[in-house]
Amino acid sequence: MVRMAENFFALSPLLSLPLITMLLFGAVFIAVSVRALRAPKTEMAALSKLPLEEADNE
Amino acid sequence: METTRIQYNDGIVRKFMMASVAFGIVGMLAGAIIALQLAWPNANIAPYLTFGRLRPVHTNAVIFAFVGNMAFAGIYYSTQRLVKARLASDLLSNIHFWGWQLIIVAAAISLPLGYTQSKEYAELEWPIDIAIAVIWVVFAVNFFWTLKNRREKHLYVAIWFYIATILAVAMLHIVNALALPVSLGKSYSVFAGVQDALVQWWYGHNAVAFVLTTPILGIMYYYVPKAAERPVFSYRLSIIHFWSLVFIYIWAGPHHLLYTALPDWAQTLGMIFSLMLWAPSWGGMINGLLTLRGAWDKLRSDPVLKFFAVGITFYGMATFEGPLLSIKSVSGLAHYTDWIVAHVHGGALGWNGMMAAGMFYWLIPRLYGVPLKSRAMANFHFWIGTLGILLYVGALWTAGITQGLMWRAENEDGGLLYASFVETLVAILPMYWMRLIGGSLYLFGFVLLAWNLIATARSGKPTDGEIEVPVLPEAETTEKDRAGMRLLLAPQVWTALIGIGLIATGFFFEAIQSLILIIAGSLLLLVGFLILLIAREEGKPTFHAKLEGKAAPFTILTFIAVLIGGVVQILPTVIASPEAVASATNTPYTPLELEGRDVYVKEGCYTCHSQMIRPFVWETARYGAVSTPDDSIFDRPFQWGSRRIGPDLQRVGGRYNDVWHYQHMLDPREITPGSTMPSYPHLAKHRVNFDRTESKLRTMRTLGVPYTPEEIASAQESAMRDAKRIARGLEESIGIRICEMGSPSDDCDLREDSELVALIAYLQRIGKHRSPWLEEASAGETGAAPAAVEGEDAETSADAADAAEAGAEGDEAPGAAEAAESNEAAEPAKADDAGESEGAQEGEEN
Repeated sequence: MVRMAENFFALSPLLSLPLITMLLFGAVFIAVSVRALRAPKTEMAALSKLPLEEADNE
Repeated sequence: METTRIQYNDGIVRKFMMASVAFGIVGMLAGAIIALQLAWPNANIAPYLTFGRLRPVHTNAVIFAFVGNMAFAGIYYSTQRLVKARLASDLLSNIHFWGWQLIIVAAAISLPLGYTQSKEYAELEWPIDIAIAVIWVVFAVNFFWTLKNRREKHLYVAIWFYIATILAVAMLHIVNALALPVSLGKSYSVFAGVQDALVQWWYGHNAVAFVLTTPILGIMYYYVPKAAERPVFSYRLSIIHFWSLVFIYIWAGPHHLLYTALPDWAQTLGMIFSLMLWAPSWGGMINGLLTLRGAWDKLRSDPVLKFFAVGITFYGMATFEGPLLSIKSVSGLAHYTDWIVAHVHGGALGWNGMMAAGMFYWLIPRLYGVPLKSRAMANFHFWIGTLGILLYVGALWTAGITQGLMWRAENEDGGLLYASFVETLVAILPMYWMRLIGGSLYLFGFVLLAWNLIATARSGKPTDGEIEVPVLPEAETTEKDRAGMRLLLAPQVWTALIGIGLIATGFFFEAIQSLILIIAGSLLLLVGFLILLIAREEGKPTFHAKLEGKAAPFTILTFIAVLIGGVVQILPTVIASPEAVASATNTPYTPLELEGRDVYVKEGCYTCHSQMIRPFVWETARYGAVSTPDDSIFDRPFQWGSRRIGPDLQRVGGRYNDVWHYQHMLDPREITPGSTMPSYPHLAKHRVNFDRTESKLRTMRTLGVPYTPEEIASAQESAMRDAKRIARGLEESIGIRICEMGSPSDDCDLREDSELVALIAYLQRIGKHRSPWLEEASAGETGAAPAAVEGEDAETSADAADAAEAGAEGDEAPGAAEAAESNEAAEPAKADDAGESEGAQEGEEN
């Protein structure tokens, strides 16, 4: 495992940057998806109707 | 509950809307003019109105004046209603409006005058850049102050997109505009070469993301449900759409630099993230289109929904095409061709333009209290606009792919089938005419829109929305602010930060330590996530649900999301910069070459000529040796370009003699029949102000270019001496009349102190790592033209290239350089075939 990692980074230590990025994105993506999918239906429905509330004279 | 009645500030919305329409027409008209110039070069009618100078006027007007003003109108109208609060300050709103319009006017004047940094979509010089930053801060203060005054706790998803826009644009603009002024109208970028390219396209791509996309997505999430009279298809999807889009977009910039001298890791990063963009972009498109579910019947009669439906469809198309073009092999074909221009216009005309039209047609009756003057005309606008886009995009797809294939086509012997660059240009000229027709139709549609809006406004009167809202006690709002900031200290935030920090640190250690840190970080993230999931109390809002109601922490976390991409991409090359300069084989430009480079920048030569040879056989055969980071290490700004309407110039130095360049600049078609390059006879009389040369070198030295104090002190003298030598050489070669340095008379063919002379000096230097003059001086020779330099030339200018370049501008061959060496050539030499000239060049080098 260690040897594999060494071989991998032997070409360029900068390869770590895209990997960190990918991990970061993955973490955020999973967290946001879980939040979005677990949110109660009523809450989502209420939020989605926000733009439809008119001003009094419109 | 105590209530109060508030009136929205819709006056500012009306102003931004009308400004958008006016500048939209100006920007599109500039587009039509430059389209005409490409098809018919005689349309380059004046020095200030050449393609190179007008093209930035077009792009800046469309991006910042048309879409910018449209976005401000859309944001201000929807934000007030979504947060149930009037804009915080009428004064700031007005400063924002008038300040932005003044910036646009300053751009419209300064760009044709040649004041440019030559970074695409960031051409404006430093005083205007500062003004942009100030006005953007005014906008941000006004916006966030309004959020603070809100009566609606929850921030609707459109507001998230607006927040991301404000933060990202501020960051991108400030970093990319960093430059050291030489004078009021001239500055040099703090970044050079590869660094500058990376920063510029990090900015350039994200100008598309955060000026042309995120604010319009926010607008989509507000106005499409309003027009369809039904909520957004999936609010859940909108949450995922937002975070993934904001997080990914910021990384995709390097896809503009595939196969260039940019490090491979950065190219791969750009490509991978561009491909990942497919998902959130299409998620957003599907969400927008499906919001129209159940309202499809309205599409038949309602022009607003028609514009929105087609706008979102074009968004889907452009965001499919973007990742496709970011695949390296596709980019190899499409980059530098009109395919990219087609892609951009699919987005600008299709997505931005159609969304703008839909929003304006929806807004105008509400802002003036009367129905739209003519629905029929709006419907006609829709059809003529759509037809215009299709003609435009179809023409340029064809042109781009045709030219891309012609550039790489091989003959039976394995050489270039179309060795002459101009052949590949002439082949696509009919497509340029069709583009002009398509663009003009689209422009005509917007003229109709302007008439319709003005007629509607004149038939009604300005009407501002009003609403009854609860009065919030001061103490309550303060407590809410505190609670909001406490969210930043929530276990979710620090667990994530420590976990990610551990993983990131792990990559900077060796083997086993690295593995331990990465595993520890991952475990922390996983365990933390599980604990939070299990500990979650039913009925209580989650962290993200709380976050969605808090503007300040939401803003900070969004900023972190966009910041990470920039820092990780840009920092490595910035850190490596001083070492790269120290080990460079390249040497700084001579004072005259630097002045000539400034003329090149001023005339916008980068709009048609790249200076970046990619590692393809057909490129090295046509242009010369592959570009290296060293080639542009002193280039502030870099001049890699993004489109080849003319050939690449990376190895043009020494390829032709001075006479060729002189005659080519006076009348390109005289030398290369079929060329669409503007003529530049005026450069022969325009003077270079050598009084400023010394301060230019001093500024460069401050930025890290290794000029010695002696070189700086003698800069003016050196530049004038070299200029005199070039001018006198031309006089001897072809007998033109010369005006002496500083002479008040212009009664001659060429001034010694002219911009043309300086430009020739620069053109002869491009791609060489040492000035041809210095080479010549060290060899103890004299002569008019810097010919191919041995040794250096062999290294930087590929042998095969010279044969190919025989055709790069017609049938001329680099044998011209040979003749130039002996200062005999009045006309560029001709070669019967590529092989002959290649042999000649080889002989010369040997």
